[in-house]
Amino acid sequence: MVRIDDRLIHGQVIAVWCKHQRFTRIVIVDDGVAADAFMQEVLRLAAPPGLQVDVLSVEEGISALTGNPPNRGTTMVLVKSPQTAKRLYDGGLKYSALNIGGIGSGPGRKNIFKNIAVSKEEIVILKHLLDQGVEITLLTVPGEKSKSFSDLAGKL
Amino acid sequence: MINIVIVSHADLGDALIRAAEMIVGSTEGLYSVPLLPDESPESFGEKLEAALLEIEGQETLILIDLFGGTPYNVSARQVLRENVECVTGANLPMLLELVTSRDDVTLSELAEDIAQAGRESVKNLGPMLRK
Repeated sequence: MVRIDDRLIHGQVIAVWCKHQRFTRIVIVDDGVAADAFMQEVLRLAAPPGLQVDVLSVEEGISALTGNPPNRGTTMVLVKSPQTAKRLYDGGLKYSALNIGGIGSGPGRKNIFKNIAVSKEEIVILKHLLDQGVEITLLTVPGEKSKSFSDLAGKL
Repeated sequence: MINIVIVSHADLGDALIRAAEMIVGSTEGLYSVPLLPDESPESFGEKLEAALLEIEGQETLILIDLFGGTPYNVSARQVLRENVECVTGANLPMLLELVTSRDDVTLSELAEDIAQAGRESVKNLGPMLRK
């Protein structure tokens, strides 16, 4: 699964998603975290035993994931933003489904569903991915109400 | 005096402070930095930095609600600073222990003490009381 969550690994992801779908591996693709060894320690400490956490820069992510495509059911590819999700897609990781779990609000950002806020630039990126045939679902945790981005796209 | 900063989801920190003050009275050097539902980790990080700037250089114990949560992810790096310790699993007994013992021990002893206090405060009453 490919997920956008600007909080990366946190309570919800570990407690709910990993239990729900039995992920054994999380691959974080983010230039900032890949350059921050301490942050990687902090994130790894929070992962339960049996859950492998890999941290890669976007360039590394593209070559590792396209060269050796991960198992969709047991691997979660985690990115912070639609921009990174698009870079992975354009780099060759042609995922067919994208989960958006959470993106914080801020100046220039508009809340579109629950705890997901996007900028104008991100709306364009998501619409572009939608046009490529990617199914985009807004869902924080399984069990909660989800929303398909295609339903919202017309009004954005 | 050792400052206490509680970082938590929603208003758990504020509520813990209110509860503690009900028991020990009004207290100084107690701060709460809440993570709001739609807030980004970056914005939360800025709030924490601003709060720490106010108590610049003084010894601080950061009490974190949930190990592995976003407040933890953002705050944990503070242990690299001199004069800062962080302990997760914030509960009322730990906060009370903090407030009542902070003048008596060093900062690193305090962190160990409240970790212990937190663990010891959890009791399953049924087996203890049903004899």
